[in-house]
Amino acid sequence: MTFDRSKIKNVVMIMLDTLQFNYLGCYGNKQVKTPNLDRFARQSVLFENAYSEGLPTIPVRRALMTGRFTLPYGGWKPLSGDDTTITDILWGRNVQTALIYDTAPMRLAKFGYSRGFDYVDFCPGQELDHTTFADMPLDPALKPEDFTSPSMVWDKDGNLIDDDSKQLLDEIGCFLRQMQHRRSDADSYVAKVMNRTEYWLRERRDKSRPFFLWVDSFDPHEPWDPPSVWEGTPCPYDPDYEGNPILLAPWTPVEGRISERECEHVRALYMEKITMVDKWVGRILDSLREQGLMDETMVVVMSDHGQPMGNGEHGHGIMRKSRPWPYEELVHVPLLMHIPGVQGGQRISSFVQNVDVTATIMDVMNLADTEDGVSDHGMNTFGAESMQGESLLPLMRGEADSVREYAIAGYYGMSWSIITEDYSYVHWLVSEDEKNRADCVEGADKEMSEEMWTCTAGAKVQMPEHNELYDRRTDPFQLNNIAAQKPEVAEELLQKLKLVIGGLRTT
Amino acid sequence: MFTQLTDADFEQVLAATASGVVIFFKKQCPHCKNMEKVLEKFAAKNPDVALFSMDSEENPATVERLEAERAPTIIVIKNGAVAARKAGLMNPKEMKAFFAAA
Repeated sequence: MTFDRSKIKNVVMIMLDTLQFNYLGCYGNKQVKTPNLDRFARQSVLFENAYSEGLPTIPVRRALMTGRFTLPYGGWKPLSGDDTTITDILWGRNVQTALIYDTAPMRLAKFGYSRGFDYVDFCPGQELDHTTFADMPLDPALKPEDFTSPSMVWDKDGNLIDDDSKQLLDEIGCFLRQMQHRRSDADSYVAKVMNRTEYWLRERRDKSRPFFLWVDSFDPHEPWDPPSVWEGTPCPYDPDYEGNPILLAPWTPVEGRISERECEHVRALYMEKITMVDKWVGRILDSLREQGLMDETMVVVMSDHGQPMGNGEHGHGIMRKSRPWPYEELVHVPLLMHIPGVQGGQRISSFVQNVDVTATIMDVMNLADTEDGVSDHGMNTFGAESMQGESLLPLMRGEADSVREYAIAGYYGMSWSIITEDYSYVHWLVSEDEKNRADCVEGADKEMSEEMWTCTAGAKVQMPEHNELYDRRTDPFQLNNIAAQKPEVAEELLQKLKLVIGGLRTT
Repeated sequence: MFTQLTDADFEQVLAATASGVVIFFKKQCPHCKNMEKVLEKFAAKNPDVALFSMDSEENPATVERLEAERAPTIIVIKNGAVAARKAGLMNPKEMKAFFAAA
């Protein structure tokens, strides 16, 4: 079929939280089994160099919903009245909107990320929402300490190591309170979200109207609870491991706390969880196909970020997103797009960013040139005029080679990075000490002072000594800092980064 | 699009301007270039507003008087006098609101 916007009625966005790009078969991982996503990739367009810009979870959702970069403006914070989201734009147009999710940050009190969705189905209990189930009685046979390594929790004298130990046991305890009722992987969170999605697709939606469906699955974010953990069987990706299953690890650097072997096992459990997520996402992809929706529906499958799980390319020494560090394993994301009439099986190497996904959705829905206005009843209506992304349609249709020569990433108020074909560069907005202590949402409270965007007469470029430069062709996972060897390249990239982010601040 | 002013003619032009915007810039400043684009867009939508620029490194007297040491600094002129000052960046929506409130 040829590409024809008027024939495309629906858009499905499937967001899978914390799915690292290089943990999919279609992205070259030879170990992990992801047959459904691999099949989808063979039939759609795979983007090899998609990068999230502002991290973590909440800024990514905001960038995708508004089509605007967040790094110049704000980090972990609610949607505001000044933000215009896809659903705001869809108000007053014939598109039904639905959000089916278990990604708890989107449901934080007063954050408003479900704004504008006609149908909202939130599945409670994951991560930040674990306190919802804190008072449920727990099966006495299930003890939190059996679901993590004792050495991550207690020191040699049997005392809790620190507050992170206590928090770890609490988190595991809350998760167990829900999972004590788990009988099979059909009770997993991803299964719940996909089953509810299936219900909406098959029964609940109005089949006479176009739809915009957003499915936000928190899985495969930790806890690392794939089937083997509950069944007491060896993890298929690491069957020789001896020790407790590792449902969760503390929010800390790994040194002195988590062994290499434990990190390796966490990564194996993560792979097993991804295989399970792949299976359940496959059900929805199959459902769309079975209902004849693939020829009239744009489908996006992507993630918001990866996951630090150890040393080197696995996490630069941290476990979980315990520090605001924008390295490759975190910021490089998988992105697959099916658009009816666009040739499947393509692999595109151009850099693309979150906001481009939004621009593409607007383009496909023929809403790219819309402006804010006022309805005939005097009510405000909204358009895409403030969006900052580039539609990927020309790229996907072979009319352009690239939309971006580089990508940016970072944690608002804490770190910025720029990624080009030749180099990647990390610029710290805080001191060496602070970046090694801060948690990943601390930057949210930082005011970007006007000093950041201005120069005084005679001032020279100040390059923080702890900034980092990497040769992206030979060292994509950023293990060997060459800033000292190539200071002129570092300085050039810093200037460029400031210009780019400053530019985004002015549009 | 910008009429460039100097220490020599600034006061005169200021007094004679009913409605205007001045950008104090540094030649090498990348942020200034971005801010100039914002002002160009603003001027296109507001043709009655006069658009001026001043090189901060070459006009120290005016810079000091207006406290415009940082670049870019945007000054709003209304009825022959300085009505508002802001250093740093703004996007078109913010610039519109800033001018309206001055």
